[in-house]
Amino acid sequence: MKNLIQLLAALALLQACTTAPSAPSPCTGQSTPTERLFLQQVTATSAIIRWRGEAASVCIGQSADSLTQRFDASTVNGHMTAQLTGLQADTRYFYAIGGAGTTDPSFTFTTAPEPGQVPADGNTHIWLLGDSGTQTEQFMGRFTHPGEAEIVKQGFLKYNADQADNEPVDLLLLLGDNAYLEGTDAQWQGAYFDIYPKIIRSVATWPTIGNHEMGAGPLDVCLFRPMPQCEEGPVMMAVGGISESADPASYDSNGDGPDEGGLPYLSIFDLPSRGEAGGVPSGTEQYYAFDYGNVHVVSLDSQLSNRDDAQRRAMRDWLVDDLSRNTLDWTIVIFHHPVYSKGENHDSDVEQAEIDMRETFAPVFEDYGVDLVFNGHAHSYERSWYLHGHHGKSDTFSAAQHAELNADGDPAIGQGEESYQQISSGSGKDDKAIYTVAGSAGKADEPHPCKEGQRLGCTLPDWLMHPAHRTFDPTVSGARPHGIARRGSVVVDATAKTLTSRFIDEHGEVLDWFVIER
Amino acid sequence: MIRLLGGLSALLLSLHGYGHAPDETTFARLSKLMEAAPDSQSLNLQRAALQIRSGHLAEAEQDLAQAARLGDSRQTGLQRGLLAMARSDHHMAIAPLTDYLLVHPDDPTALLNRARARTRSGETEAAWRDYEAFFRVSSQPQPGDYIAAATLLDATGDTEPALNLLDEGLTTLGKQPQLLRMAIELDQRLGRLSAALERSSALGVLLRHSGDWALTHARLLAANGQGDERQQVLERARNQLRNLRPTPARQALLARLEQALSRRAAPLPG
Ligand SMILES: [Fe+2]
Repeated sequence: MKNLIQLLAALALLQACTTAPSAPSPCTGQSTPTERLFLQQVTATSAIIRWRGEAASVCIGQSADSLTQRFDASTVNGHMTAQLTGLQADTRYFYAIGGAGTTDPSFTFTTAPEPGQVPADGNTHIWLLGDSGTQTEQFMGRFTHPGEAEIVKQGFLKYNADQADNEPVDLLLLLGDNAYLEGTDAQWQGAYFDIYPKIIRSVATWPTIGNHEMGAGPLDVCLFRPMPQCEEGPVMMAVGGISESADPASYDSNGDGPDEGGLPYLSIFDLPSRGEAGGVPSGTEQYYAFDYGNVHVVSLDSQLSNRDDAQRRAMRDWLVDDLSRNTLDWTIVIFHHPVYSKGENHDSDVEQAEIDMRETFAPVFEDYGVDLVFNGHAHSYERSWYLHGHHGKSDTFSAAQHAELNADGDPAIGQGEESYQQISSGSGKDDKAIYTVAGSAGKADEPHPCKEGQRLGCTLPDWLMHPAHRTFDPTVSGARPHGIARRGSVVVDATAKTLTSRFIDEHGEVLDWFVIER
Repeated sequence: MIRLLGGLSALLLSLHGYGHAPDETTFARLSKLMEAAPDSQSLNLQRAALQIRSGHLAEAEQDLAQAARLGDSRQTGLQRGLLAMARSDHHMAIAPLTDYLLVHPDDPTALLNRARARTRSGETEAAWRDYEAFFRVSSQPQPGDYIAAATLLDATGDTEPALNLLDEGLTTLGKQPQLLRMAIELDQRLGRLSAALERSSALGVLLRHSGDWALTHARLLAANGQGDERQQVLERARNQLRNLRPTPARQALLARLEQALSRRAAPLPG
């Protein structure tokens, strides 16, 4: 009997040894192609991978040759969505859609540093794209800006290779109008997912809503151009980018009434309305905030929430709460409609959305420690002096009163000895911000002289002459007194001590830069 | 007019993008479409909607009258309501919106607009019923919508239902500071100090016990007779603020905290 027990025990042990080695890897799937693939909400501990395609899972790992952790995806708003959790901060991960055990090493992303920490390489490298969505812009069935977004991207890549050591982008911020003309799902595909596929599978996209995300609206073309039919009354035309609605459900892609699925932007992107990425929960994906290491970023909604008094007030109060809680080194705010601009046909003295954003929000930015504000909408580059307290129209601007001055009493340029200090040397507090309009990542405005008496649809004499913006050397190509009409994008670098912003043109040249030090 | 110009210049921007102004073919095509309109109620309605949104109210009225002749006139109610609201004639908007809701009872746009029209016309009870229906059917209610509706209820003295609505909003949208703040204020007004304190503690977590939060929370603690706790909350906030980079908001807050702390000796109520 004793022998039998010993024999059974030995058999059991043998079986255990042969059948229970380490658990088999769950990553035995096939790498599967996707139609669109992008990242959302990459934090210190989590990330979202979204795609369109057959695959229903993703495998990840810290080596491209050994992916060992599998996450299943589910369909959310027409996209496969995998929520990755339990990640390590500031760590590089590789992934394979479809759940294979190895991957092409270019399918990779790096998690955010712990809040408050600087990334291991000492710098958060941020790329900003305003009004880049022109690849899908059409008129009369003809594409009007083919390849322009691509050359701006190439300009950035050249700059990055030549002057930034090919540092990977940590954050990609969109300034609105990133899918012309109506922001349909197909336009997002053509103007965004097909233009930046390699970049957006490695870095999270953080967008904001522009007027061209919000479909088509009506316009009386007679106001623009008189013609015989106008004698009988207005001639209405549905035109992309002129919706004045505060309701995302009113999204209308072609002028025949609201579309079934609502606003495509809100289906495509998965944004942290509940504070998932470190901001105060806003309760709406239309505006949100997040932390990335020592940088706090806020995306406001100047297109929808800004059009309704109650919603604008709620957004403003939320911003105050969010900024009051924020103690990170740097704060960046993005939204579409510029608070100061004399862009061609986008005048912040005239457009109500711009006036409302300036009057309601600029005082909050200055009082609550915002460093940089980025807008798009006008297809040129304008960058302000280091400002405080200018909340009226352009003719109320006074450099002596509203701008940080240099030793000569002129507005400081923010370079070299005139670098800006986060705690302003003039006031002794962090009460100033720089406002940049950078809406030329897909096209740049060109002068269109006005005919006698014409005030609309042509270049007015004050084009790019907003006095709150820095001046430019008139010999630079495309330069106007207070702006540059050139295609390009913006790169921001945030270290522990400096926040640097550069405007990069399509050739990879830096046309403007400034530094804030702390 | 300014709003219209804003919209206009967006078009001009796009037209510039094309590199040239629209040519005659566009207008010919457009006119053809307009010629097809007179027989169809929906096309007339569509054009009326376009007219209203671009400020051509007299023309919209003509299209709506024509549309009403071409079918069930109740179908024109939404646009007639929006037309009246565009003219700031909120009371006149109610009847057509009601017509429309008879045929489309769950339309969120009509419900929200009738709620607003009734609010502005002083028909608060009916306005509230519309908000209630709106929140039942809307897929994307915004924080501002909940606050507007709760403010309406509260103004009529219905504080309890206002609180219930805010709680509903907090469930739908997730915990969110603006709705929580209003709920705290209402709880306090109803004398429910412990409920207000509980909410305020939740808000404190959301706001990482920011100085601004500390001031409100301290007031609640004082009202609840918790003088020592009040003092601790204020001191912690002051000490935290002193170590933060000075901003105008933080300096103002610090002054308010110091002032509140200096009132320590004051006798506590109750
Ligand atoms: Fe725009």
